[in-house]
Amino acid sequence: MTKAKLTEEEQEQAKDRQEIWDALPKGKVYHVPTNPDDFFTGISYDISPRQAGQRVRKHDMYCELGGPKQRYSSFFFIEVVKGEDKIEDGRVEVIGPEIKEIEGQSLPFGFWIRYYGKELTEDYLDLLTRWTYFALEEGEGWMLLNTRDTIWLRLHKKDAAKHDFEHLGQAMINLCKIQFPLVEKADAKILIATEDLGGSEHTKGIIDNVCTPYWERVDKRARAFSDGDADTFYGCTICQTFAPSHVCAVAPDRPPYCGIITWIGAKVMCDLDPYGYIFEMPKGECVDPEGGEYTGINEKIYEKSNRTYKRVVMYSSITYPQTNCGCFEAAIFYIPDVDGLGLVDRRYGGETPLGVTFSKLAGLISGGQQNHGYCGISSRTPRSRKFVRADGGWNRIVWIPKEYKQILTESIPAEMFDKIATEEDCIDAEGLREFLKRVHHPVVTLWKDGETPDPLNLPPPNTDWDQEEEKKAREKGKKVLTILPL
Amino acid sequence: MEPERFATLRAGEKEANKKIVKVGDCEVDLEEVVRDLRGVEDIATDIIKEMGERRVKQWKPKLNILAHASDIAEWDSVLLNRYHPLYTSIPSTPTIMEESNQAKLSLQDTCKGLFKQLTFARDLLEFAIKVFGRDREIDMGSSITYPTMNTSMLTGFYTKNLDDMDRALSYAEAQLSELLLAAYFGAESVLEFEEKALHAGALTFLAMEIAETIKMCCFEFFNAGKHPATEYSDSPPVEIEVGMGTVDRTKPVIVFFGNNFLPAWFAVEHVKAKGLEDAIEICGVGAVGHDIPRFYNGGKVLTSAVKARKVTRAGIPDVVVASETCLDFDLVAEAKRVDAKVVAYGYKAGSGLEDRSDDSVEDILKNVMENDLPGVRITIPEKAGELAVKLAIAIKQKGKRKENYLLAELKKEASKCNSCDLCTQVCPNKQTISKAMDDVNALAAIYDNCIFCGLCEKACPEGVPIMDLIMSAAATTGKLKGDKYLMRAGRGPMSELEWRDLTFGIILGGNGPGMINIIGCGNYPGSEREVAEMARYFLERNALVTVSGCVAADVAKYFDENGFLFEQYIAAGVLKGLVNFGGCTAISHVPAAIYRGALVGSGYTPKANWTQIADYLYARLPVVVIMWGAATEEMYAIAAGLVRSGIPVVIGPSGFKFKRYFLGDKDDRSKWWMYDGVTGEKKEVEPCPMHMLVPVDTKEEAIAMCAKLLHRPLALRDPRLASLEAENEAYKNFFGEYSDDWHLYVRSEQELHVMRRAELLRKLGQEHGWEIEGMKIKRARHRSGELMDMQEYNKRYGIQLGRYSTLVPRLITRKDIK
Repeated sequence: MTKAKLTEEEQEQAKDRQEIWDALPKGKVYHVPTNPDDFFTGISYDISPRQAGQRVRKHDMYCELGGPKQRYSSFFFIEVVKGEDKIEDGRVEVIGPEIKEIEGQSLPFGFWIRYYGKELTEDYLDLLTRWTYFALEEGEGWMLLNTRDTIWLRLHKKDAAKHDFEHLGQAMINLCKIQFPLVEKADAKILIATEDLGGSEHTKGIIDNVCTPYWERVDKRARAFSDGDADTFYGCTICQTFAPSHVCAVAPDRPPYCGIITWIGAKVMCDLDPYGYIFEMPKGECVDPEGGEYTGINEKIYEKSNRTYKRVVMYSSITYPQTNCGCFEAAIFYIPDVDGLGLVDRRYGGETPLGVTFSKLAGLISGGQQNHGYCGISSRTPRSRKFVRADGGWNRIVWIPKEYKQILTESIPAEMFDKIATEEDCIDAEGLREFLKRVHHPVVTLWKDGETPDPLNLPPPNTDWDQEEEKKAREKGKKVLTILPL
Repeated sequence: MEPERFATLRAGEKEANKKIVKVGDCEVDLEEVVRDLRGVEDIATDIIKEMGERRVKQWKPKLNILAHASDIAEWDSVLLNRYHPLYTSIPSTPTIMEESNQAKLSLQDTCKGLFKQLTFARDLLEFAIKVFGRDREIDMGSSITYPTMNTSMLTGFYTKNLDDMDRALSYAEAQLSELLLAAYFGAESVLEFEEKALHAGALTFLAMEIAETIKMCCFEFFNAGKHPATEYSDSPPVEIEVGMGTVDRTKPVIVFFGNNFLPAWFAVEHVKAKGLEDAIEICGVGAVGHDIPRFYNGGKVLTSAVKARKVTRAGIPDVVVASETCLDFDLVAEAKRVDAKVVAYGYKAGSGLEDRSDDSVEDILKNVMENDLPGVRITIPEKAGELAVKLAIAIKQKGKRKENYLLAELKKEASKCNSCDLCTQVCPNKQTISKAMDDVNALAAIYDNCIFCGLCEKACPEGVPIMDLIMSAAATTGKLKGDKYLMRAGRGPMSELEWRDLTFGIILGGNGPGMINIIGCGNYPGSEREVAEMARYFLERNALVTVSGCVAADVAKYFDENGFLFEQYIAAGVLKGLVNFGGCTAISHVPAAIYRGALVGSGYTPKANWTQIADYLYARLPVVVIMWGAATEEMYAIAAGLVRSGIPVVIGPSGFKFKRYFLGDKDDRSKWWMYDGVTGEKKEVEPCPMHMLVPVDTKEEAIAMCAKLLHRPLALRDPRLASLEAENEAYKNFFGEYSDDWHLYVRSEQELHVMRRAELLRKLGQEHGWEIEGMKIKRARHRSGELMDMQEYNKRYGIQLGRYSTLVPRLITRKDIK
């Protein structure tokens, strides 16, 4: 987590930002309500999930901000400010024309929103962005595409009369405040960069000098943040409502397979909603760094699974994987015929090398069981750097449906990409064996004489591994993991 | 000595004959799983093996294989005790009856609904067996993993071929006999009668599913199961023409009435074989109307079954093909008025016509045309279909038929009216007919609200052909031509894949309030618009809306600047999707879809495992059915079946003609509880779903009630927010104020919609005595009147989020096996 003290680089950046903020042209200043009772007073458009995902076609458009026509030189910038005195709570400044003055126009723009809170850090940036976004994403009449410096907004003709920038600013900062009590103060500048305000040159300058350095620094730290940096993981039992023994452990490197929360999200939810279904899991001692097994997690899993499961290896799908409820987006499965792992997502309707479809496979492994060799995952799980590390990581993956493989292109190590078969290469065991031999897939090194697969003897669901067999499984994982692809 | 000896002997015998199935390291004695194992051992063994070790260890399995009503009493009693049946007076009986007599009548009505569906399914099955043989495989397509769920829920098996279907249907028929015995000679208690009525309802779904499955697997009806999920958003396309204005009357026109599609199927086969697709109009009314587009996209849906007479009065058909039907009017006489010929199909629809099944098509054709016969009866569908086509062509070739609505002529008739107003008195839709007699526009306005039931004509002492007058006015003012819309054909089942997507939106997340299913057929003023507006209301709020039965064509009639409703929303079973399952028998896809939902989440077997599946979805899935329009016996049975599955039903408009309801009493705190699924502790929960079968009067009441019935005691945080917002918004919009019990569903300020949060928190403080601090609830007022902190409140009231809970003692996780 972020240290309390700012580094020199951070201090320098903060100073630059403040200077640029102060130097922006003067606009019309509003003071929007800061009293929760009046957070949304005066807002006459609807904000709710049902408005999400609206598309505004060109001929329905009242005005357009950012997007391809402006060559994306616009920004949506959220900053966490240190220093209470820097922010005048509820101040919204609109620089440039109002909505009613820009009918039919397409303009570059920038929303610069600043938050302060004693306990607020840049780690929460994603969540702050999400809640601020609601004003547009779930706001009646707005079409919102992309984020940060590729943002693209359109306003629908039929709703234009309900909107102005003052109230948009009010909605953005107050939505964030009502959801997230760590935010104590907020202000915003809304810049509509007409020609006389410098046009896209102006916004581009801010992006280059303010936004990009900030994002680069925050992203870098977020990427570096991993399991080892967190003392506590989070557990979720949302699915126990129908799978009584199911528990999910959520770590920085392991999103839950439903894909709906992240570690940081779980942390915030746990603070905000203490009577909800997310709880802390102090991780205790690390027993197995490759596999991700911790004493604290095991204890909590045992307690929360109603004393059903004693062990979970977070980065394995072969030995003691996490239990599965039923709502996973994709699944990993062990293919004994080649001693490798397959990966399938729910969009793929055909058969897998196991001879079953995703639906059938999902049916077989759901219900809160620990299925050695099978594991439901989020479609984003493969992006984790620790993805099935105990089993050999990407070097153990032998088969993925074509469409899903395309989606995962960036996560799959380049040298492995062509070594992983799709349904177009083969579905049957014989074909898969031939394919893997032909491409010199790393799993072939596990085969006897590089010819005959020597599959693991998986124990039935919910039973313990024979110790020898478990050792063998781990060694195989290690061997494949360290192999440089042939 | 004797009894002891017997006892030991019996015990010994029992020990020796024990039927043990091993799953993992766990042994299950089948005798304890099924009430009577004889004859069903193989089915029981399969199910237990499929269930697997984990499940067997978690709960004591109990299977209702080929269930009798009382086999599912474990679940029915949960429902009936919470929602005690409430009877309203029955119009035909002058005095108030004993409850048990009313319960008996209720069972009789449900049985009527059941046997209507059973006979149709049997007809279809017999024919399918004749044509395809008993081994004909049932293949629902690769997108469907769990195929015939309504059937397996009662029998314990999926129907893999027609022979299995025969076994399932014979079972249902035997059950009907048993139920009829009780319905006419029984002396059961109120709850026992209603238990049987619920059983009859469940069996109705089995019968509908068998018919529906044969349609898809033997007669190539459109079936989403055979299409990949990538096609679902726009499949089947919005291309089916709806309404009487779509018919090109320069071509021969055949109109199919009733429930049986077989004559239409063979007519279309004949048309295709002869390449006549562009030369002849194939139309349908009611159930068959919705069947035809599923195998022939040139088929047109003219109107719903209750308004069938509209079509003949407009003089549309050259040939009318009738099969057994939900309408009760003299089709032969109606056809004669417009010089159309009738082909009555089947053993049931006699219509007083001569049975000519043994003659050749050519002979019959010649005979009918030369002797100007009103029509014939045919019991062979191939022949009926071919004859209909040839007859229509011959009639068209012969020249102009009588046009039945020449306004000038009719004016003379109208002048006979003596303003006695009897017509207005009998009109079920309260139209002031006599005042409109000489005003074309007023008559045309009546047309919009008229279901052509014919009561006015029957009542008129002067014999004024009132319906003809109304129809001519509609034609003159261009209303007939303008009756022209587009819809999607029925698509059949909803796949597990769609449920997986939906789960994120309505079970784990709160992006939409739930799944709203609209069924029924409109028979009152404004129905078309109202059904469409309800669908649109929930679609705009991100729900999944499904329609089945005649309502699909009514929903099709919604049109605004963005096009038809079917064009505005995608056809996939996901949030903001508008799914048309298909004609009447396709209503069986509603519970089937939800059973799949239960399976996707829980993995519970849907085979003979009624209690567990119903217990699961009743307390978890935000699903409601709106039943709109005619309150027929079929609908009565269907409502019973849905209720037994744990799906609340809202009936309207003027839903009070339904005679029996299942209402909950929110104020009786002793009724609202669940068992903690692990400790077995009994805990008080929110009063929801508040009712299981509830009447409403208006569209607005229906929407608000539907929103209210989306609450579930085991809903997670975001869905709780979504259903509370749905209820609050509807009440505020339609009635100007929130309901008097919304606060009973609040367990955290996180469940209050952000835009309303400050207002609702204030109300909690001022009107309900809660303690509010800033934007947080500090202390809550428990239903006992005590003020307590949130931790205590959440412990004492409601189930902790994500905690497994149940209403059935057997389903508390077992401690005896570890």
